[in-house]
Amino acid sequence: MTPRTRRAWTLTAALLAAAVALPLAADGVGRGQPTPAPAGDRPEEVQKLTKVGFVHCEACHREPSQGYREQKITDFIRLDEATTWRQHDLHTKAFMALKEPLGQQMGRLLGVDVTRDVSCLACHAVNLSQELTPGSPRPGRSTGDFYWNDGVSCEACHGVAEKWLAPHFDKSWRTVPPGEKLAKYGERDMRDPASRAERCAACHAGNAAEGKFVTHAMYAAGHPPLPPLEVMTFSRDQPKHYNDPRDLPYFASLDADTAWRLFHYRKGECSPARQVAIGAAVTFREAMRTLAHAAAARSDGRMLDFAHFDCAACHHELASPSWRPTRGYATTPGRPLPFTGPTALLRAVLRYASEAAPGADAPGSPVRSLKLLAGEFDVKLAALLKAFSARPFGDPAAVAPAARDLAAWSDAVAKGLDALPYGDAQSARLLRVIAAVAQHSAGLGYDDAQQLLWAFDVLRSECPGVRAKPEVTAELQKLTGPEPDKPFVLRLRPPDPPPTPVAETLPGRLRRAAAYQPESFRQAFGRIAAALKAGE
Amino acid sequence: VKLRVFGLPLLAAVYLAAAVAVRLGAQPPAAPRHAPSPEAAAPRVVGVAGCAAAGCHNDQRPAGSPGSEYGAWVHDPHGRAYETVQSAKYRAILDRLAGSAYAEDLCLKCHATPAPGSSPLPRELLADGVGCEGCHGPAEKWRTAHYQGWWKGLDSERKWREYGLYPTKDLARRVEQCAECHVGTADKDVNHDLIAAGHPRLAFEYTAYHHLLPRHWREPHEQTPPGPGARRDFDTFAWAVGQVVTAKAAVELLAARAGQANQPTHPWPEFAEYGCYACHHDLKLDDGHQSWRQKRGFAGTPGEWPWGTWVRSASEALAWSGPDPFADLEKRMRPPMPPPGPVRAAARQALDRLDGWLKQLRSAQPLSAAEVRDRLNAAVARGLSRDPAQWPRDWDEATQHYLSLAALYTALGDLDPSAATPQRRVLFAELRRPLAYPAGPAPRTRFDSPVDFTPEQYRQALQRFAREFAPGTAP
Repeated sequence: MTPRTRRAWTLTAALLAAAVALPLAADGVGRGQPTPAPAGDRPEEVQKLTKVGFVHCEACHREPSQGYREQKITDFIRLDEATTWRQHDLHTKAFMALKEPLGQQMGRLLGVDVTRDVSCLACHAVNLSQELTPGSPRPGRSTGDFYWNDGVSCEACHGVAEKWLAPHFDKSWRTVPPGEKLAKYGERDMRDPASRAERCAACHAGNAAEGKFVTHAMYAAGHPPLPPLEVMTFSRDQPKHYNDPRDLPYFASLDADTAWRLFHYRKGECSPARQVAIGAAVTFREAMRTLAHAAAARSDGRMLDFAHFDCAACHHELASPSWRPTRGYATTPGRPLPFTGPTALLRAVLRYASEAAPGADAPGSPVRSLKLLAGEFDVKLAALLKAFSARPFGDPAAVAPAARDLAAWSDAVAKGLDALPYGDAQSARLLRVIAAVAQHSAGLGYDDAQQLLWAFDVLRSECPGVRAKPEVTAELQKLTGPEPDKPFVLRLRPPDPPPTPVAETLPGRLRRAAAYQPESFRQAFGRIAAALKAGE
Repeated sequence: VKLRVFGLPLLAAVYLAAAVAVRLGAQPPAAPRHAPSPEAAAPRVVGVAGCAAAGCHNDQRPAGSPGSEYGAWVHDPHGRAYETVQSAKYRAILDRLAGSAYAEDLCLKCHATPAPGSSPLPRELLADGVGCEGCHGPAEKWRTAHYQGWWKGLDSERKWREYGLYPTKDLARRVEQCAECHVGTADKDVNHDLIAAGHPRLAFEYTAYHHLLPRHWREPHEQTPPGPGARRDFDTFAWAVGQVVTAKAAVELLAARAGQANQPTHPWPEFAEYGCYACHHDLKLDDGHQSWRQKRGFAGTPGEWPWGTWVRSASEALAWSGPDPFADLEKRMRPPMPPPGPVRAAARQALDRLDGWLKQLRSAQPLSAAEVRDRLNAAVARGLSRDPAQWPRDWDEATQHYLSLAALYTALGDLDPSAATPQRRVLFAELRRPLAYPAGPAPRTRFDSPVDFTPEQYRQALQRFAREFAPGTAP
């Protein structure tokens, strides 16, 4: 045994011991265990769990101690993940939010106990029975399915740790391919942008198969509108509890094939740019899957929940003259159109993908297939809009196939995007394309504009290939900020702890959306695009 | 310009000469062998020029006096109805409807003098907008007859049945005529598709329109000496008749919409049936953490729609005996996808009950000043005594309440001039303030929705109003 492997074994043993001891020491009754539910309420497979909860993770992922640093574990991961999460991350408050005044107000108006209702817990806690079987989504069946002590904790995204907690202490875990980790151990691959985006979207956009859906009744009772999901911005402002592979020595030592196969990392590229591009396609795919699921469940002609419709289509003050009617109507005016989530960023990504370098669209290349896919978007979207405008609230029988078609289409787009490189030059080009789409899209909806702006900003902040330009910064500052007349924010929330509860930031968010004027956004990006061009 | 300046007197002179000639040769009416219904005969529309002769309805006399009608009507927005459909705004509406099932001839049904039957209106008459015959009926048969000596001997029913002159002096019939366009019918339906394309929402209340119009007539009670059928409580009577007849027209329209549900120009559910501002409001928190809707609570599932807030809101103020005509209909319309069959059945029941109300109204004696004062105080007290969580439900209900007070106050002033003072008018302006649509978000724009309205603010304004205007009505 070399000194290095000996140290690894010692560490592993220490971690194991800590993992076992800490939950017992915490408060006697096992802080890591789900709060006892009424007998018989908790499914057997959930009762059997012994390694569930934040506390198991915190034991090791609290801080990069001297020992860990000596072991060079910090070359691979930060090891302060749990601390970052506990101090800064709003996910910690997900369950507590249900007990706060806004959550209680919703409970009163809806006539339910929001701390026990499965449709609330679906996103405000961890559905353990579902997490035990990744790949076969199902909604929570009863309160006992859920673990809520730590809000939306590690396992909500990374998968229930029952099977992978022990093996992942070992360095050999690094060599297990992600597909096997998921299939055999139930650990999800959060390094793969598509799989990360899929997890974020489950709650932040909706996942009907998992029972994660904010209904219109919930919104009317006070649930805050879901901000448009831009996965990289959400990851950055969560804030990040990981470092990019580019900044970690371990990944420099890997050969290119291993880095890609095991960690979904193309050496030298800006992974946030990859995440932005794929995140846009996956977020849209998940919205379409949720819509298709809901529409298929209503083949009997019952109408879709209002929350499947574009909120801003109805919810705006009436004014004349107003920018809204000047956009024109895709269908008969006055028919509520689908909630697709924003699509402007997806359009920018499609344009970026199909404008790749000359010669890149040889037969069989991803660029070629992305070009074909990009050309299909408007036709497929038109079919969905037609199904929605066939009559007020749409015809579910026609909505379901149109949404399924778009879901399959965006899945193909996401796969094609994954095959593209996201080096420094490419991320700079993606940035310019986003600015151009923002500049040339008249009458963009608020969520579309906010998502574009976030993607633009996160590329600037996360990709070293994108050079800072003072003119661009000045324009962004004019559009953003906490002042009431600024229509956007660049950061989802301030980086300092503790995280501000959603209820406190909500009035500002709603005010900004109401004050939004698309023309000033478009013009600002006209100036930004010009500034970017001037430096070329 | 020259042609227009000379054209009108010339035309007037021709008509004057014709009128004199006919008068000289006055004949008893040639009794028709049978009384054809106006629809079957489909009489022609003659045009405003036929009425505007100097010696007939274009005399230079004080507004409202007989003969001055045309002079008042030139200021009437009805005369600009066709101009509206020549505007750039109108073209934009058509552009937005391009490719839909809606065609331009739908617009002309209300933006020009309605052409009876299927005979199209001659193009040269389009520019009249909604001309005299839009309300009084196509003049082909009565134009010459109505200045004959014998004409005054005919009763209004005969004038209508045999000659097609519409009985506008009968208030209920008059409001029915207004409602044709201002509420709508099966084939003159301003539905949500059209509103979304840019047509203003229809919200008709007779007495408000009555006083906003540059009137070309005087009501019997305004004439000296008072004309036949004069009633000093006119405004309260007109308000009540207006409410019932408008509600009837709205329910008939709903029945027609349900009957043709899901036809290309009859979407179902029809969003225009519901209170606009239930959906059309910015998402905002009125007191920092709650919207007024959340604070008030919801009758059913949060986010359900209120049906008929405009037409049914005054039913309580009418306070007639008998069951609520709207109860069943309101229940049927509550789910977002109401079943058309049961809605039609509920609409028929509502229409029967509304007919009963109208009968009661017609047979009721005119009110005295004291009775009007009592009703005014009762209307104020009724508003204040309601549960703040229930009343007013929305802007529509508050506005209808305001309009009922305004009508009662006008009637009170007519009955007892000492009751109407400038100071009291100021109080009405204060009460109106929470209902206002504010200036728009950008320069030279305006809101078409009550952005700042909350039911609480109207209640507070009503409390102030009650203290100053009608002490003792506050609970």
